[in-house]
Amino acid sequence: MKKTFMKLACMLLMVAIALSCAACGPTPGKRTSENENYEANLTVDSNISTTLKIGFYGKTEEDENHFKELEKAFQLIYPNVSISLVTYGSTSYYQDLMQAYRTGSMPDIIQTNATECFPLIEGGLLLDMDKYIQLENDKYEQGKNEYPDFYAFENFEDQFYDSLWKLGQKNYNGHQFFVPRSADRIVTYYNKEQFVAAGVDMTTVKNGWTWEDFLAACEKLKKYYADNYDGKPFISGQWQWEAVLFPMLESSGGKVFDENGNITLNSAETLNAVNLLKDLVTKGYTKEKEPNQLAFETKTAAIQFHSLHPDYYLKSLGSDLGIVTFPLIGKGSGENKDYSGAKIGAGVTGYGIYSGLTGAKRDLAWQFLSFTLSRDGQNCMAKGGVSQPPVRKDMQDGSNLWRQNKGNLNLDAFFWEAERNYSTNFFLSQESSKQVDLMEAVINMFNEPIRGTGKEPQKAIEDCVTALDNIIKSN
Amino acid sequence: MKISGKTVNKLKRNIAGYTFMLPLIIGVSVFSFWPIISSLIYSFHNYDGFMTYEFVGFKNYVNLFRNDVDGLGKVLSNTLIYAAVAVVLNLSLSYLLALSVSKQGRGVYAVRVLFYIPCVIPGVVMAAMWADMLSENGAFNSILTSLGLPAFTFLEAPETSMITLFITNLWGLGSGMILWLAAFNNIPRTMYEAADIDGAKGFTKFVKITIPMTTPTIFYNLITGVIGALQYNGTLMLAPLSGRGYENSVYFMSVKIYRDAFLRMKFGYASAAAWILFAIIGVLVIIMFRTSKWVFYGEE
Repeated sequence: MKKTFMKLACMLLMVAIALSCAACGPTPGKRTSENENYEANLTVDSNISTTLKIGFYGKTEEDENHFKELEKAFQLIYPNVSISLVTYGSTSYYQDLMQAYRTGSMPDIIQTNATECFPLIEGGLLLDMDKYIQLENDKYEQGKNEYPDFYAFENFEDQFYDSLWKLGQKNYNGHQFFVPRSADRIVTYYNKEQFVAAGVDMTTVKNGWTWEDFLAACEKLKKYYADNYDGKPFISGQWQWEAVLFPMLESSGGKVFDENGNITLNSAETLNAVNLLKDLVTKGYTKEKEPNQLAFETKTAAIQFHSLHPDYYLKSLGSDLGIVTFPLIGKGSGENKDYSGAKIGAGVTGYGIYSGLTGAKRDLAWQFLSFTLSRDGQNCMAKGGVSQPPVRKDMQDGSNLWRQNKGNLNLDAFFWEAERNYSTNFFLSQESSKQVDLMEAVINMFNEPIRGTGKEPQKAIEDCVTALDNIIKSN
Repeated sequence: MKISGKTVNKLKRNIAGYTFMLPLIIGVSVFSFWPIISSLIYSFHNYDGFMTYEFVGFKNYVNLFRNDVDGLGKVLSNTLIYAAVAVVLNLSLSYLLALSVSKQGRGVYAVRVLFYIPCVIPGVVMAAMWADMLSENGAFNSILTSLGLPAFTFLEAPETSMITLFITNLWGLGSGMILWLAAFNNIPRTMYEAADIDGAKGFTKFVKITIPMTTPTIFYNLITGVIGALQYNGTLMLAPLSGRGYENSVYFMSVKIYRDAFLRMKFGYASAAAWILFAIIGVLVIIMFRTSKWVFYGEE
């Protein structure tokens, strides 16, 4: 009996090993052949009958609605194509994608963003879309020759803000692996009523306002908050977010690595950047984790640095909501301060095509993305509730849906001097598996001096250099 | 493999038994054996969870010990310190708690229920609650400051984070208490009656009867407690810096495995770390079994 059982157990074990090694294992080498040797085609039979599966993270009402709007419009061209949505957890994004890949249930189109795309590109999950873009450029060129009045741009790619478009490229400068859906830029959301009540000089609160203007406003708000809110801090700064912190470092002239990949963080410029944040805490304007986002929505914080679409805040603040660009940080001192190198945090979320997709369905997936990027597509998204600014250059005027029902909000803040946009990229010279650790180390450097234990900024920088060195040298 | 007629006959004779066992065998094979073997295979590969999959031999294991970004020594020592203290603390306090509520009396049931209620709260909810209550302006610090006491750093400083974890884990004492109460109830009353006749006092009865008679439960709780503590990952939701705590003060092996696999996308490397943890747990369990002569299983 025991022998028989052992035999059975051995057989099961062998089957398990065989399955692990073969059937459900990964497929090495697929990436190269699929990504480089495929044939792109812009002509898809309008009678094609299929379902496009889109994997996206988060699951807000707006997310679902905007896909419904896109589907409705897309069906005018491809009536037999439906869209099905698969949600991935925002905190278990890679985990969910891995599971989908391993079980052969990958979506046809994958949502990603400028910071989370690297492992997907490295892992070969996203299709290199250059062939489709080249065909679109050729098509645009042809149209331009025939109807020059209707084609105002250089080519297909020129329709989009370059600073945003290239964030979908490998290392932000190369092959296109995803197309940006909408523009995300860090802006200063503020409570207009509180600004006025505090006596802030509102003539300074305009696009391109400087860090010094911002500090002057904070000083007024401090007194206002002392009188009305028990002296609570009033800037919800998102001080753990790289999109806020890294432009501060870049604007101050601090660099994490030089061109050769050597660590150059320990500098007077970095110290200035770290001190900018520390000063805000020392003066009582903000704290490391306070006030939070909710405080701004409930009007117990006056300022919020964020890239969320204005509709989100309009729900809670209504006409009290104000928007202005992120304050410009200059180099030097006094009147000679130079703001030309000041940066503003930006990023994009967008969609890529699964590299395992083949034939007409891959072509169709591109058609869907192409439609999403069109004026109609961008308006559909706004209609569905995603009212972030479009990535297209030709959608600034009030006839576009994203601008409607926003009152007199200063929406230009999202585009003002777009060349100042800065997406965290210092880690590009390093392996993608080290990206998370490198970012965390630098974010921690900013936060250590503002924690209860209050590490000196210079010590925080030195510790960060040690940590970075450790990360680079590790396997 | 040739199956003899004798084996076929045996299989036929016991077909009903095997049929009943089949769902369990399939379940264990698919959900336990298969992942275990897969992770062992991955641990010898450079595998990112997607398409990168290259055989690297023992490189992952060597790198873990030689050149790990987190410093394996620090993570392992954190894990072992946590396991040692948390297990001893939880076992002894839950034992004392069970003793104090084992006697019949007014309000005893209410106390038992009160201590057990926290155990039915899901781990994720509990972690979120603790994170909120222990924050700089959370409930605990509000109480402290309202009493004129200085705010405490809890998980916000490396010096206090481990101690804070030990205290938060006492939240689950109720589950241990239930097991101890069951063990106490299984001790024959006649033993205490005989001890009473011999004139034994309370402490003597506790040392000579209660403890020896509950050693199987102590041993069971010790084994499961050590395994559970070494696999502890509650900090993932609770501690700052993605569950590591400041200066890696509460960075445990399970959290490291999670980070390696799902943040750094080093699936093979994470699998190797998991096998190291498995080996450590295995060695400790073997040692505990080898030194388990103190466990009283009754007269044999």
